[in-house]
Amino acid sequence: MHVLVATDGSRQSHDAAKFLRKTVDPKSVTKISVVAVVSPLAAVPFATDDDSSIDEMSFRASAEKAVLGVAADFADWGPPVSTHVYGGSPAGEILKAATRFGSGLIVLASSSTRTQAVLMGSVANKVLNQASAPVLVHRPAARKKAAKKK
Amino acid sequence: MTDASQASQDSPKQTEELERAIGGPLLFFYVLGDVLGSGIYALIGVMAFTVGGAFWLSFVIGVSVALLTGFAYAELITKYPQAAGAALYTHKAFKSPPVTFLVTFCLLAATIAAAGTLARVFGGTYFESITEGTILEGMSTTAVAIIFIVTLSLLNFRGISESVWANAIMTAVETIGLAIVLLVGVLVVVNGDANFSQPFDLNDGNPAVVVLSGVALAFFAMTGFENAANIAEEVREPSKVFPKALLGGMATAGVLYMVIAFIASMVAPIEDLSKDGGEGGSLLTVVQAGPLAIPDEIFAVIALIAVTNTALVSLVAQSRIMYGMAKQGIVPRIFARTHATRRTPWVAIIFTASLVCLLLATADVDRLATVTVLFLIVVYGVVCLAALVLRRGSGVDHEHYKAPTFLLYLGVAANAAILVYTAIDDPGSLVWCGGILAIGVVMYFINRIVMKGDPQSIDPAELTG
Repeated sequence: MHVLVATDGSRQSHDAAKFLRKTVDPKSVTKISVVAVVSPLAAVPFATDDDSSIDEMSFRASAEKAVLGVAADFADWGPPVSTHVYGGSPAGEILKAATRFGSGLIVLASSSTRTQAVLMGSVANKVLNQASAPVLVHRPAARKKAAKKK
Repeated sequence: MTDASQASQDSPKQTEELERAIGGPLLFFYVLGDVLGSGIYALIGVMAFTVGGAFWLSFVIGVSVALLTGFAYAELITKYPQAAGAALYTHKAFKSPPVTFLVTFCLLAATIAAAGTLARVFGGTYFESITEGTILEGMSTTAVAIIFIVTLSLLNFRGISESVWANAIMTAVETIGLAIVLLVGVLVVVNGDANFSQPFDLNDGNPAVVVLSGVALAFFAMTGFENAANIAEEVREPSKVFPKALLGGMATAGVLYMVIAFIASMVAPIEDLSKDGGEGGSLLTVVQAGPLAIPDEIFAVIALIAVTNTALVSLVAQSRIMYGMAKQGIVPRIFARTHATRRTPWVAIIFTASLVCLLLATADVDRLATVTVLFLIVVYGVVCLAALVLRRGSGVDHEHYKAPTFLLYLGVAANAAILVYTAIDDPGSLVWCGGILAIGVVMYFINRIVMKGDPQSIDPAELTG
């Protein structure tokens, strides 16, 4: 099975990748494609949590760094990994890439609340509703605050 | 799109082929759409008021100067195809953080004033003609303009991620509107109703001075092309595609402007065009005076779409410039804060939108357009100069477009001339410019105190704009 892992450079997308690695048998995965999408017309074409490399950064460079970062999460796991950066609308490009690759699974992270997703849409929501392959949406773990309350 | 995943191996590999979304035709439409919406729909009345029936002559000069700058941009974008535009070129040419800051801030200020201009145009005659007889009738232009900016800012906050195709569709709508005006022109000539003397009438005064007084406004109509640098990273074969698409788009828009301006003057009486100091006249006036029975509402909606498209691009551009400056630490870092899930720079969006609203509530269309032009002229002049300065360096290791040298010199001189003339012609605008600039300088120094000194190194690739 081909697996498409989408990243926006956030920590959550690393968590999604690690979750995949933990739960799926590598023998069932033929190949992993890590995908990031740059939106040329957006206010921030590619936002990343990584702040360390401002000196040499361009939006494309950030996106490349993000896909290579997630690809590194799969190092030594087994299946071959390739990385891709596309330009356009994130959900649309992820869906197109999944069709092109013949992906059997799409993995991505989402931290939108339901209200946010309904009111403003979210990439994960759109992919979930329009994909023709199974979708794994990784949600961030419950906040520590809630646990502290008891 | 090409597939980069042909080769496979056991360890992650470098992305070998970056798939780029934009080719020549799309880039052409992007430039055309950006340029068209901002001008002719917005300012035709004000120009007729300022210059008289021969205001198309002002377009000839404004378009020519903008094209000169276009040559400099074409060279620099193909030389350094990154999304940073003017900030990058200034930084590379002059290597002085305060100069880079100043140019970037001028660009920011120009897009803020441009958004204010367009918002006021949105709330003007076009909006009035579609709300006639509804509960919205009689709403003040300022109120409509502020609601317009707030709505577009919410959209920007939500995230604009559509492909450039959405832009191409908007451009098609804008072009249909202009095609209607062209058709009106043809029909009026065929029917023998054209007034061939009015397009050659100038307001009283020295003819050269009168024509020049409209140049700043005509120049406003050509702005927007510099946004093409924002998408430089996404263009396939930029060295080949950019010069043709950028200059072609600008030239097409420029020629269309001149023809449309001539038609407007031939079809509509100058008293109607220049009603209420020009804010009451628009392309709608031209269509109404022509023989086509197109409902006002339909044409007004087309015009509103055109203005919205350009205003949205301006709003996105300003939050993007602000975000880039903050990422670089040359304005307070808080402006680089992005929303956790939307990944949009909400602090920058709120700040710039508030500035736009403040501006549009205190100045009229003519003043706002002039302020935009004053700021932009500084940027354009510096970009022409940067193109010349960067010729001296070691160059880059890839093929790029090289503009004719004399055109670059001419660009520097022409921009400087318009700057001086506009400042003399409308000294009141300098107060506005000074006020906006003061906000920037205060921000710069507050940041310096907080950061304890100059930012170590500016990476202009982050100063997108």
